[in-house]
Amino acid sequence: MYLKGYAGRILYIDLTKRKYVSEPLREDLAKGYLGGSGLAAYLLWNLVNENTHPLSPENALVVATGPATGALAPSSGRFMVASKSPLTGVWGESHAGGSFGPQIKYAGYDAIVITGRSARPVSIIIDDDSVVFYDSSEIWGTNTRNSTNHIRDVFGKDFHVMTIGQAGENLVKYSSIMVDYYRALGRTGMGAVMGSKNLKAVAIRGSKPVEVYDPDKYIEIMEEFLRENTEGRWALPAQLSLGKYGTPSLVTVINAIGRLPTKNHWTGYWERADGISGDELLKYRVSRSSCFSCMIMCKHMTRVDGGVYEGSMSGGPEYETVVALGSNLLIDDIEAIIHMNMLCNLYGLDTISTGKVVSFVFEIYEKGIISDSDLGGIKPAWGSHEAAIELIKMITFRRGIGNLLAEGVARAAKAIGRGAEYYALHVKGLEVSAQDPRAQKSVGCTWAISVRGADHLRSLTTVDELGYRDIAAERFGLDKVEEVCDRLTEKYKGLIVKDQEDLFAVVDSVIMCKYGTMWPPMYYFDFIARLLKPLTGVEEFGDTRYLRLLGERIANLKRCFNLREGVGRESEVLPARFTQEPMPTGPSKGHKCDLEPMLREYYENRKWDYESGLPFEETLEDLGLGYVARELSKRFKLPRRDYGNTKAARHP
Amino acid sequence: MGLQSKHIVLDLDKCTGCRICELVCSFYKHKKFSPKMSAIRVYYNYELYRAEGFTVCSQCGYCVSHCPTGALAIVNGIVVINYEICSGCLTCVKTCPIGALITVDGRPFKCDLCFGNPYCAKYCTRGAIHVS
Repeated sequence: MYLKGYAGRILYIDLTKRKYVSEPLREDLAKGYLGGSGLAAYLLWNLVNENTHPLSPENALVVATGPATGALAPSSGRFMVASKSPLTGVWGESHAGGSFGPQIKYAGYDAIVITGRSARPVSIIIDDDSVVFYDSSEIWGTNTRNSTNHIRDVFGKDFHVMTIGQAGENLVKYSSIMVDYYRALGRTGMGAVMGSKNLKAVAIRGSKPVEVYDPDKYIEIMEEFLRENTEGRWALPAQLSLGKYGTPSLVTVINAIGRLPTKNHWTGYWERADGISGDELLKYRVSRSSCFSCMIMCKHMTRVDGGVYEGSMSGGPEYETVVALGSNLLIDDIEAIIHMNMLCNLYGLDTISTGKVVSFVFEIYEKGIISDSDLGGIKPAWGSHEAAIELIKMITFRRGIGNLLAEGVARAAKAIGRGAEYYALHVKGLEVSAQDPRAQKSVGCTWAISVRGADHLRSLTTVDELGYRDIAAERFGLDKVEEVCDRLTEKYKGLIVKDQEDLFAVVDSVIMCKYGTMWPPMYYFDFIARLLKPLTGVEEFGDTRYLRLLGERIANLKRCFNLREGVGRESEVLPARFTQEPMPTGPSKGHKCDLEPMLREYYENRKWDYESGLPFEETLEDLGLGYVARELSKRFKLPRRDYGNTKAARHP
Repeated sequence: MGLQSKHIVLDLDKCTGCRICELVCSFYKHKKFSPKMSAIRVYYNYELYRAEGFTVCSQCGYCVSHCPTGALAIVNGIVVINYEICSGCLTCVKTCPIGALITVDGRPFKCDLCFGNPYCAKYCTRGAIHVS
């Protein structure tokens, strides 16, 4: 193997022909796109085009790991899948933790590319070099727990399984893929892509090692990281919040700053938020768990004993779920939330999108846009978990209005009409996540520019949210600290969102968790550079400037992927609720989000032309994306910018 | 022999299934990352979030009496393999009553407690691993 840290091969599987072939990972790809999200972006750019229908056999599902996966790096147990999204029609990617990702590396692959469509339901069983197509007619129609159990019973308990539930089979546009029971590849409808390929599950185990270029140097950094995790600045805050509660610890914190989405994002503050807080959830927790190679231990399992929802048990719920199915619907019955979370996990539904679709129905019913005759007996009312549960089932099995709602909130609102669009909260078709741009202005920019739609995981910043002044000074300069750390001003938010997008492009390619990079903001480009060089032996990776270039290249490539689909600047808008309705209650009362100045600043920093919404030709060329510029210029006339004559002048 | 010996113990209630112990073991012993090359192995139930068991050498010395070449010996209560004498017959792997010895690159491999300062225990931030 030429490069250490990588497994060195990509596995291509064609489900139509039931053939598979593994090819070496090209060295220039590893160096130029890192792995994970970056590698997937390169592969997908070439595998699909603007004519590929997301649910057609031609669409490709890329399952990818990064160089850090399985190599002890901090919180590096994650992996990702990418595909053209059936929900948004543009770039779709989703990440999950657990132990599945490292097994891909140990089986000897950096990425697995799945194309085609099987004539019958099938599962792919990968055991090192062998790939078996396992007829899955028997488990088609079962939930994620049963299908995972079935595969592990048949092939062995040491197999790790990612599978879809009934929602994915029924091509619900926001269905998820469940990994090892409770870890979700939730967003952008990756489950439907698997469902469209008649692929029920992928199971994997591996026995090959991951090698390191400079073991002594590498373990030195790991020792340092261990000390940092046990005694460092962030050790105690992380243990007290994430370690103790997991992500639901956020509920109280976020409510206090008036950013807790409540009543279909009508406001950002809920008086009854204590009922769904981390402390409340703690009463139902039965066990805790970590992802592979992670010291944070933020995963927990909850179980309801007694009451209507007795016996409900599942991993989570996480913060996003608690909000989407809790405060967002004015439901403060934590047992009902645990039950709905379990249902979504079993059916394979994205809890964020599902929650926002249900709250959309509640609100348009309240406003009289739909009536009882449309709903088939359900009585939507704020706080009604019975109605929410019934809607979840209708969506999964596409019964009644569920058939329409399964298409996502954007398509459903368009079909319903009569002003329903106003209450459909989405960007590019992806339902909004549990933040509010009125209470944290940078979220507006994050949602608008995010390649997969209104989503927090591509560029959400925490320096402004929590006001880390020292970190803001370190990253953006002392003169900008005041504005950067003020979550209620739009100034410099385009800058920090662009910076965070580049960082996350690298983080998602390396692949590390957002914990450690988003919150606490511990690891930045410098840490990743120190980690990657002894791991891979690639000299360039040790240079933070090169990593920043890679971040920009990957972020640009994904944006260009959307542009090729014809989705550009005009899609970078926020729902009117956030830009026109002032926050009605809570600590952030009276605030609106003014997107335009942030977008302008973002485009300027991204070196894209704001007026046309297109990248400057030089920008792409400087980033080594000349092939992208050439393909795009078939459709658009890319603007040119006179930077001066030499390349050096453009990159001072 | 086994009564006075020290060996690694894993507290199943504290274990969270992160497998850092396995990674660290394989790395310090083989300079590679692979849970399959680790002297300690954890069986984790991903459905219930619970560690159900673990395998690691209990330093009982059963293999010592079966080694045909005398490559295994007890030093300060720890069973160690002398790889210069070891012929790679793997009798020890076959005879180990708890399956704690594994084969790595054709040779037997087992926990030697890192000579008193086990790295797996050091890296376990939950304090689930200790020497008893």
